[in-house]
Amino acid sequence: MEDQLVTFLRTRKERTTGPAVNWEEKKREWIRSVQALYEYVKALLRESIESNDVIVQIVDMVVSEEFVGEYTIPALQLIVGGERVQFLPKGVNVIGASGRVDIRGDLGTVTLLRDRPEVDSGWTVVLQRAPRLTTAPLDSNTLKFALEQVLTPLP
Amino acid sequence: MIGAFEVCELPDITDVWIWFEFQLALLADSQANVLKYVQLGAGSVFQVARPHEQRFIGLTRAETKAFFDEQRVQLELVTMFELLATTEAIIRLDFRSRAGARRKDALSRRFRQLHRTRGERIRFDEDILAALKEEVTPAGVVSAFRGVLKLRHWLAHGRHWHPKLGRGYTPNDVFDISQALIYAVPLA
Repeated sequence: MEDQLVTFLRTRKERTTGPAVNWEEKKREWIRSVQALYEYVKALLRESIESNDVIVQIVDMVVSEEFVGEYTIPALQLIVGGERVQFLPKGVNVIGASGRVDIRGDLGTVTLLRDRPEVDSGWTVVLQRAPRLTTAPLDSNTLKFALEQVLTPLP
Repeated sequence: MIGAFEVCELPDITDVWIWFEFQLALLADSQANVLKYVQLGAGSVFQVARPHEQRFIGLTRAETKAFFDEQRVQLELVTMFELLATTEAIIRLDFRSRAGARRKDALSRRFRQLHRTRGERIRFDEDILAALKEEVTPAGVVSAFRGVLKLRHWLAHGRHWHPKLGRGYTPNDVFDISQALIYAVPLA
C-alpha cells in the first residue's frame, strides 16, 4: 500500500502543475509587446517629439520574474521639461492581464495593463483602483491623464 | 449585526481561536483563488470574476503574496487583542463570582476583601492580577500575562508608538499565556 505522505505530495504536484509553458517564447512575445507599446506611445507623442517638447530615450533594464527568470527588457524614458517619466515593465505574469508596465514619475505611478487585444494598442490605463477598478484604453487622452498623475503640477 | 452587541456571558478563548483558524483558512482559500488568475502561459486574457478581487488585477505573484501576508499580520494582531480581552473578561467574571459568594478559599476571601475596598473601581492589573499573583501557582503565569498586557495596551491604542514588549508574541504565545492563567485560577 502506498504511503499516504507519498500520495499527498504526488496529488499536490499533479494538481498544481499546469500544462507545460514555453517560457522562452512567452518572454520573447512579452518583450515584443513592450516594444510595440513604446512605438505606440511614440506615435501618440509624435508632434511633441518633433517639436522637442518631449525627449524620448530607450534604455535596457533587468527584470526578474518567477518562472521566467532574469531577463533584459527595454524601458522607455520621457524627458518632459526637465522631469523624467519612465515606462518600466513590471512583468508578464500578473493577475488578470498578460503583462504590466508602470509609468513612474516624481509624483507617483500609473499602471498600464496588457489586457485588451481588441483595442488599438492592446493596453489599458488604470484610472482608479478603488472603490472599483476603472480602466480605459491607452490613447492620447489617457496618456495625458497618466502623465498628469505622475508629473509635478505646474505652479 | 443582530446579537453583536449583546453581553458575552461565557467568554471563551477557544471560541476566539476557532474564529482565528477559520479566518486563516478563508485567507488561504482566497489567496489560492486569486493566484490562479496569474497567467502561466495561458495566452489569452481572462477576466477576474469576483468584484472584490479586481484589486488584484495587474499585481504580480510577489505583490499578491505580500498583500495576503499583510492580511495575516492584521488578523494575528486582532486575534491577540481578542484573546487578551476575552481572558480579562473571564478573570473579571470569576472575580465577580467569588466576590459575591461566601466561599472560604483564600482567593475568594481575597477577592471579597478587594471588592469591599475598591467596589466598582476595581482595576484589572493592579488589583485582580496582583491578588492572583499571590494566590495562584505557579505565580509565573500571572507575571507572563502581565507582560503581555503591554501588547494589549499597544493594540488597544492604535499602535502609534514603538512598544517595548521585551519579547515577540504570536497568537499561539498569547493563547498559551492566557490559557495558563485561566487554568491556574482555582475553580470557583
